[in-house]
Amino acid sequence: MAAKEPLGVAAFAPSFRERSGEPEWLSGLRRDGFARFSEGGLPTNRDEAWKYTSLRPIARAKYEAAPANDDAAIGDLPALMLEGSARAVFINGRLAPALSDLDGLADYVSPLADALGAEWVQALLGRKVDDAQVMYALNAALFDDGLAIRVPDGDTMPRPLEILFVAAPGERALMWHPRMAIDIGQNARATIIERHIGPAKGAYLANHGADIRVADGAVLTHAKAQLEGGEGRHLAMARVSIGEGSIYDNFVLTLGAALSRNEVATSLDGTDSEVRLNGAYMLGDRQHADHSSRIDHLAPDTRSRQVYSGAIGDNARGVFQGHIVVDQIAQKTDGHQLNRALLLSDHAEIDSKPVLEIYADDVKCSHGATAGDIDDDQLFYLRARGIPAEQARLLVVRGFLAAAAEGLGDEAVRNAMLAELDKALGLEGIE
Amino acid sequence: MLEINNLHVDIDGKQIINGLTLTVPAGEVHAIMGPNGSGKSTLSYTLAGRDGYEATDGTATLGGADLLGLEPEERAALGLFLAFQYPVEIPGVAGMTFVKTALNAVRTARGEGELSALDFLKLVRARLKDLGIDEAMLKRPVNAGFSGGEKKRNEVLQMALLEPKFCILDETDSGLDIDALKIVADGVNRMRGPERGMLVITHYQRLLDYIKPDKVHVLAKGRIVKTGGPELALELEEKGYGDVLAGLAA
Repeated sequence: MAAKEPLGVAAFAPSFRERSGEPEWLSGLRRDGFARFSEGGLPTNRDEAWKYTSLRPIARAKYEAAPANDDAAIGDLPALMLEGSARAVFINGRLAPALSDLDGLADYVSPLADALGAEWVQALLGRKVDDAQVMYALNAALFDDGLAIRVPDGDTMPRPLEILFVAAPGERALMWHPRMAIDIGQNARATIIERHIGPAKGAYLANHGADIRVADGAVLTHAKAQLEGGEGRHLAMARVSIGEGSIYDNFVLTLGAALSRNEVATSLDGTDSEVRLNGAYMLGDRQHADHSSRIDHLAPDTRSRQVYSGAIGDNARGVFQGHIVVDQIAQKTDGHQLNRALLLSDHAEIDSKPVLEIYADDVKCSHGATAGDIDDDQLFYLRARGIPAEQARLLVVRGFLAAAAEGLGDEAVRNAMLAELDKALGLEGIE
Repeated sequence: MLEINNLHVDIDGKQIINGLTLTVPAGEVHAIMGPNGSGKSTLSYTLAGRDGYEATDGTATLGGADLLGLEPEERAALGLFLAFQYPVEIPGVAGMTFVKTALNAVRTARGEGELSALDFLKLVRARLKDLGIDEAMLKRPVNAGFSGGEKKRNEVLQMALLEPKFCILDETDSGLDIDALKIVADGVNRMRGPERGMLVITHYQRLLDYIKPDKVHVLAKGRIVKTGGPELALELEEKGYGDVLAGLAA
């Protein structure tokens, strides 16, 4: 049988072009990224890291690179998730300065294109890409826009930053590949909230990439509400290195998109460092949502905590892949992961694949996965207090999902995320 | 007020309640005592409307209204309150959210309309004060990680907020030390009144030292086998259930 062309290469090749005026290191990065993508094409179920998530629909969709926008055509933007935040607004993957409010953050946030001369940006973007990170390589090849966010040593970003990604697809299927470079200096602090929104109709692909460094003693709170449109496809990969005594506190709320994958790859590089990856997702119709994580414990006394909770209805499917690697020198590692799913219909499905790879001998690691129906005891208790069955069910689901947010340290951010969940459940303003 | 007539309930094909007849008039507190396996919890679940606890025969009415055909939330709206033996933990739902949702649901069902946020808060704070409960309890998720005493006090708080016509207390003393028991009993006693009936279900006489019943019924093999005044509880405490059960067999 003749060798087949790798999946999707023909669909994406027209979008790849040499760009003049970019530094040579970036041109090289883009060429490498596209070469890597061209070699294997879009991942398929034969790739271990993509066993449960097929990107075939993406190969078929014939996405075109989104043109520059007419930002004026965008209607009212939603209110801030967190009061007092600054906001960077992206329309179809491109920063819309006129819609953004970055007052007071000029020293911290800039368009990525303006920061390409900075060494730290080159260092972050130039980090090695694993073979499985194909979509990330494609993002490097194709990104048109992004942000560079940097908090200097010992400093705190004066306001939380909301990055609002608005999808405004048209007649044709569009795609964009935004890239973030985030550097939190030693003992620095920052809070970043991503919100992704889109309309019910209109096909698009948002393929996000983020390079993040959390230096020694720093804390980064990074939360994301994925509320993409019903025909949207959302792929996101964050690669995070975490220094000594620092904390990367990540939470994702997944409610939107026909197909989504949220992938976080972290390395605990310094002793006494900690990563929290938590998430809640609620799926219906034929939605498919994949939450994949990889945590490398590369230093002693490092901690990782993961709780992902999902409520899956209709014909929807959830995927959780949690891969923990404990290096030989990472003694006293404390790593725990848990995936809990509520299956709300007979056709709902959850695929859970935990992998623990442990090369040190003095560690505490655990993983757990549960899948089940709504808790009858909870349901009866609520109904016995007069709460009608349907509302009681919503409250039980709410409780189940909200419990995953408990690991998120920042209470205001947590409440902002739960408010989005409550909106989706029709329990708005319940707290 | 509560009238149960010839009630039969079977669970998984086994007859648990077997022709139970009982009347509790408004203003009275009745106790049901019985050994393990006599059907005490089945009776409370059947009256509250839990799935799987359906009557195969007989009737149960509250203030003349049929209970057995109603959903659990409809029974609550009618004024029935079950204080659970094991109050359920609901992580991820704050206590305040829970009581507000419950109160407004019951008010709506009764045609009273929802309370404004301010009126609700006033009411909750007044009840918390009555019962000497710290508001912090309602900021925590419902019963999650609560001690036995905290869970039962939470039940009493819900009772005080919902102001039911009739309360069923299912083994309210289980899991409580004597101090917690006194506090909970005090809360229940505050709820006693000429318009309200109560059914206290318990294995031990101890609870009845603090919640004095007007009548005591002995439940065995799914029906009431003996009825008396408060002295019957003392007698059972002293002699155990053996005599009563022996009488049955004879």
